[in-house]
Amino acid sequence: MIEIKDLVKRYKDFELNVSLSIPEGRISGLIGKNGAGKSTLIKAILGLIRKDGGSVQVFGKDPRELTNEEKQKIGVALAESGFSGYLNVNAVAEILKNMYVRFDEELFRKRCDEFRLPLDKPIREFSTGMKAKLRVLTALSVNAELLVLDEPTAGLDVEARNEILDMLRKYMEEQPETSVLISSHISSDLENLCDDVYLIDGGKLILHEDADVILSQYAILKCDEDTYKTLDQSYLLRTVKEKFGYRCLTKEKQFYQENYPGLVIERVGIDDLILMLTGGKK
Amino acid sequence: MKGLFIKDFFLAFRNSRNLIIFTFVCLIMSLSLDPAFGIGYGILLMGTVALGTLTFDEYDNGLPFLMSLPINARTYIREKFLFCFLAELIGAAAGVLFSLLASLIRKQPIVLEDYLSFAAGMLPAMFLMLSLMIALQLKFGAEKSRLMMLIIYGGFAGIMIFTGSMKDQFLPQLSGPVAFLQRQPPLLLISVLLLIFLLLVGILYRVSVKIMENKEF
Repeated sequence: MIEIKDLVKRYKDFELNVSLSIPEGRISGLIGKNGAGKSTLIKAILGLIRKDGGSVQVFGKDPRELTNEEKQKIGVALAESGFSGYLNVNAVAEILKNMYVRFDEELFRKRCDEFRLPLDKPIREFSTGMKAKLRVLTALSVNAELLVLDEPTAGLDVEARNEILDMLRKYMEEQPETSVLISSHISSDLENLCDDVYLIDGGKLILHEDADVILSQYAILKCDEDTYKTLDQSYLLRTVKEKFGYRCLTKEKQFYQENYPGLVIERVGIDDLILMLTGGKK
Repeated sequence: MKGLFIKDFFLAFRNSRNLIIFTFVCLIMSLSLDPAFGIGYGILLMGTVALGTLTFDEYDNGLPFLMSLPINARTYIREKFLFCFLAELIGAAAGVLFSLLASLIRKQPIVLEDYLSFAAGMLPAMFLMLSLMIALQLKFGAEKSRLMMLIIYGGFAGIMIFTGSMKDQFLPQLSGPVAFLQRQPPLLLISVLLLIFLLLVGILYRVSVKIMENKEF
């Protein structure tokens, strides 16, 4: 679905340089701090910016060369951009109906009703949560083969976030063949949703791993100075010195469980990965 | 393109109060001034309203999402040009209607042919101006494009004043070409003017598409 090889995009004080691949039916998470390059990468995938090098292929073509018919197969929700705030949901439904052959108007209106989105109120009068729901709902209502969701839960409270994530989970259950690229800086959003996770920092991908592998094989080791010195450090990916000792990231959880029985070994969340991989010492 | 048309229709006429005010002002001005006033006013106003959809598209960083929908730069510009032309056409039709109505109320002779030829002259001129505005707004944004238009108007006014002051020098030299033009059949003159109009609009359309294609969102 998406093939990116050595994509380069340069700005005055930032350079994006990534390669990734998202096959059919896969839910890939793109995670990183604010300003890491997530939105730039998504814009490159959607053909909204020109690349300075490398190649981006969506459905086997450069995204800027996709026909309007091919673009109908992509459902998009962008973090800071949506339909004009002067339109209302009724107008949005009419527009989508006439733009996407596979737009499911009935489902769209039903979901709007479920999410208590007023049909005739201008979007600019919506709350942040309502706007986010509408953006995601729009992307999910066009029966897309590829979903590109940029920070769909950014700036939302827990309840609104959960509603959106539930909506996404339900969609994935109903349409498992859809490929999804979802970016977020909130790791917990992606932990139970994605098949694999790309971690981006400073415009570069620093990790690509299956979500299952992260949960089963990665671990945080906590130890004091003396224990740290006795540890086999060849399997440590990152180490952070703290006030009372060390926090170490490893992908060989089992090795340390078997060989260091007294060692404090904690499960790794994606947040830990971000903190360790972007802040720790190799 | 139909989806874009619907979007622009909703954006342009989202407020029915605007339409009522337009109708009211048009009628009053046609009654109190020249009955033909409504024609120019209708075209200008509807053109401005249609052009405003470009600003609404850009409002609150809306263009990145819009361009991720199943449209491309060419479709977007084509729709914008068509929408603006149709809006001006509706403005002209409404203007002619108001002019006729004003003539009836004022008990003046109805000169439909004059009104229609006035509308036919105004429409391409105003559309050309609107096409230029579309290109300028895409390139420089709403604020700067207005400034650019002011500069262009200023330039035109300067040329007019200059040629006016030099008319004694120019007029004898122009009498030959003017006489030549007067000898030509009106249909030929209209065809030539129409061709020039289409050529200029075509150039502005191509320029607008190029600007849009080169834009990053």
